[in-house]
Amino acid sequence: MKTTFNYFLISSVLFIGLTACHKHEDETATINLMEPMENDTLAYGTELHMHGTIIGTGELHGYTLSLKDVSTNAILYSASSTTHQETYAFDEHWVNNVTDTTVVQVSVDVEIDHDGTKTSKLVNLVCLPQ
Amino acid sequence: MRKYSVILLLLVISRANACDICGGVSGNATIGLFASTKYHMLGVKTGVQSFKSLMDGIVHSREYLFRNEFNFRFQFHKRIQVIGVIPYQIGFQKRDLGNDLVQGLGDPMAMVNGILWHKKDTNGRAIHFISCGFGVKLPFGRVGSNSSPIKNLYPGTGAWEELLILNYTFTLNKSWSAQNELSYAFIQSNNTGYKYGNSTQATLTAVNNRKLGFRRLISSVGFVYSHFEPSIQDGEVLTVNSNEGYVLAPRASINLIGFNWLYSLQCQVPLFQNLNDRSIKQTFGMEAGITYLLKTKIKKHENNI
Repeated sequence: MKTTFNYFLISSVLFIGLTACHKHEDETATINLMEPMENDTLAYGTELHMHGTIIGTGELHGYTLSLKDVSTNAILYSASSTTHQETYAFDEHWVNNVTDTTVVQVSVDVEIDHDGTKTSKLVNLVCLPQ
Repeated sequence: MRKYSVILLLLVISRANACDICGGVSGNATIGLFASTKYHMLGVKTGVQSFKSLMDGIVHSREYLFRNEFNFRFQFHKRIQVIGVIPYQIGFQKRDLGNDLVQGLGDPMAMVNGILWHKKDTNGRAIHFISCGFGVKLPFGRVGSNSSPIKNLYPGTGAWEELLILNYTFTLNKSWSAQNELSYAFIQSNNTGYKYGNSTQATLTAVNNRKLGFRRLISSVGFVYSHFEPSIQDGEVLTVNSNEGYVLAPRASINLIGFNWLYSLQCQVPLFQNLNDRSIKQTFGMEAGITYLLKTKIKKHENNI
């Protein structure tokens, strides 16, 4: 009886271990960035509307939406979600407050797994100063 | 306890918030369940209405409107009631990438309700009750700017609103009565040229009234149907984010009356809905209230209208 229990215990541990650590090699995500569009121009004080969807083929491990100044790599805006879902939708805003004409890159980075596998979508736009 | 059995209509359950988060989907003001020519009423109420917003069928935010209000009804003439509501709203939006919270005074409402017919039987029980109310919602609530992405979390519309409410209640038997209510809200443009669509609301409610020791328990079940016309900007009907739509929701309430106090609990969950091309969904709504009943000095024979 004890041997049977041990077999059962070992099998259970192996099963849990194998399923918990399985690779997400086949999983992908489609990022649909509806706004902004490539090469959009944004006047000073105007609100940048960033909205889109992320659709995964399996469970995704979060995403980050960020804005950076392409010439200096300064981060102008960044927000992340760490919730595990197959789909995400975002609708965020940022007010253009640059002091010089700036090429800004909007970046959506999706975490496919916890090993650092990512997929991204990048869009550049021009932000005008006052 | 007989005096309580004739209280059968009028607890002000108004919706005075702007929220087009939700597509202007707060219901119209309503005369509600309790109407009596015997009592003045003074109450407070708190409640929550929740929504979720979708993009391509994916939820991107959840909204919760916590509404608190002070309300009163004053029966200053045997045929005329004056009703007032002062709301205070806390709006909360939860997104993947952030949260927003807006709170403030909502648009207060004042209404005059005329009792057209109040027929009673020999025991003083209301057999038929018909009333017609006209109200105004004042643009004194906190309003968000048109460019604000969370404009719809704000409690005020910034616009005047006129309300018309018809109410007919009749007794079915010793314990049951039925209430029908129809209301229409005509919403004006605000100072930016934006106009929320007018809305219509119809309710059909079955009301059970029974004695419970020294108290009286009044419970109700029914349906409420709300229809919202599209919003208008500078005279042009909007085709995107128009807030047009409808909601059909079952509604239930429990009300306990005793020792001049009325305790109320109400909930509703939508059954069918289409708001803003299905980009917004109401999920559930709950409301709790407590009201003090103050006997009027209208003479008994005058009260039997």
